[in-house]
Amino acid sequence: MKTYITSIGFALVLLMCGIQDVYAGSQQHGKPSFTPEAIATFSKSVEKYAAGEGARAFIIARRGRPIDDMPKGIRFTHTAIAIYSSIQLSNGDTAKGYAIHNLYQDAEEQGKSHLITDYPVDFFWGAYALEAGIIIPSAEVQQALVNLYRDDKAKLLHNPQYSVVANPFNSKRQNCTEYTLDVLNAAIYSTTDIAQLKVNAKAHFSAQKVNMSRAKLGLASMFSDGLTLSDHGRKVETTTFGSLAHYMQKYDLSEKAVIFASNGETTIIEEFNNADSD
Amino acid sequence: MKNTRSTLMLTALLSSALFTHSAMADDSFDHSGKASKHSALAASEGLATTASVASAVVAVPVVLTGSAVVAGSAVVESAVNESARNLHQASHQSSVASNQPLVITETIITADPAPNQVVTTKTKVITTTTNTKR
Repeated sequence: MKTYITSIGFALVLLMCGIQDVYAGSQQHGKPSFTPEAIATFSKSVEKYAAGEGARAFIIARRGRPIDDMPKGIRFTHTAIAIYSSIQLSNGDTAKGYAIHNLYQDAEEQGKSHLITDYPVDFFWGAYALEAGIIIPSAEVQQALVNLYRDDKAKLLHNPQYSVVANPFNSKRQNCTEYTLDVLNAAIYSTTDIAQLKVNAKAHFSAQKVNMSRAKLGLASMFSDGLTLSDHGRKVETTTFGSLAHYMQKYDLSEKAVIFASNGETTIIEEFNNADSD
Repeated sequence: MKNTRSTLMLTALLSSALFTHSAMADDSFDHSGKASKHSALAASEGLATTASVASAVVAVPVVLTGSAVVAGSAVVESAVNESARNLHQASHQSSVASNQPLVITETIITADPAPNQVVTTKTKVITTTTNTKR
C-alpha cells in the first residue's frame, strides 16, 4: 500500500512537472535561444534567399524543439506562408520584404488559435535551431497565393478550434500546418468552400502518421486543451511541413523545397534523412 | 505484488503521457508581441551598420500583373485602411519586373505588440501622469 501511494505521488509529481514544463514552454519560447543579432542575420538571409529565387510567396517553417524530442518523421514545429509585400513602417518609410501570415496557438487558451501577421525576425525569435524549411511554389501557385491574400480571403479558412495533431480531412480542429494546406488548396482551387477543400484534401493529400500510440496521445490529451483526438478515427494523422512538401512535389506545385541552414547552405528536402517526411 | 506492478505500470503510463504531451506540444505561439524585442535588436552591436530596426504598421502583398508586379490593397481594409491606400499608391509607382530576384530591405522589421498590450501600456502611462499631476 505504501509503495502504491509513493508511486502515485511520484507519478503526480512527474505529471505536474510535465504540465508546468509544457505551459512554461510557451513562455520559454518567448525567450530567444540565440542572440538578437544572430536571429536578425539569419532572418535576413532567409529573406534574401527567397528573394534571390524570385519568390513572391513561399511556405516557411521553423523548429522550436530539439530534434530528439520530436515524434519520428517530424522536423518542424511551425509552418506559415510568407508573402512578398510592401511594408509601411512606423517611421513613415516603406520597405520591401516578406510578411509572414501565421496561425498561432493562443498561449493562454491552448485549444484556440489566432491569425497573426509577423516578420522573419519575429518568426525565428523563439526558434530552437537557426534553420528554416522553405517550399517555393510554382509561379502559378505563388500568384494564386498572393491574390488570395490581396483579396483578404485567407482569413475565411481559419478555424479557431486548435489541436496540435489536427486531422486535415475534416474541419473540427486546425493547426498551423493544416491552415497552410487549406490556404494553399484554396489558392489552387480558387475556392474558400471549406467542405470542398476537405474533400479535395482527402482525395489527394497524404497526411503524416503520428508515430505515437493512441493510448499515449489520449492520455496526454487529458492534460492539454491543445491536444485532442476527438477529430480522429482509428488512425491519427496530421499535416506537417514534410507532408506539404511531398504533396506539392507530387502534383508539380513547387519549384523547390529545401532546409536552409544558418551557414547559408541548403539541403534539398528529398535528400534529407530526417526532413519531416513520411 | 499485484498492486505494485499495476502501480508501476500506471506510473510508467502517466510519465510516458506527459513526455508525449511535451513532445507533441506545438511551438505555434506568437513571438511578435515581445516588447523587449525591438529594444534588444536596436541595442545589438553585432548588426551590420546599415541595418536599422523598425516596427511594421501594415504589409500589402506585391501582386503580379502581367510582366510587372504592383502592390494590392484589399488585404488590409478596416483599421489600417488609410495606411494601405497610401501604401498602395506609393507601391504603384515602383513596380518590379517578374521572374527577377526581388529587393529586400536591410531594415530589421518587427511586428508591434498586440493591441491590448499597447492599450495597457498607454493606460499605465496616463495613470502615472495623472498621479504625478496630483
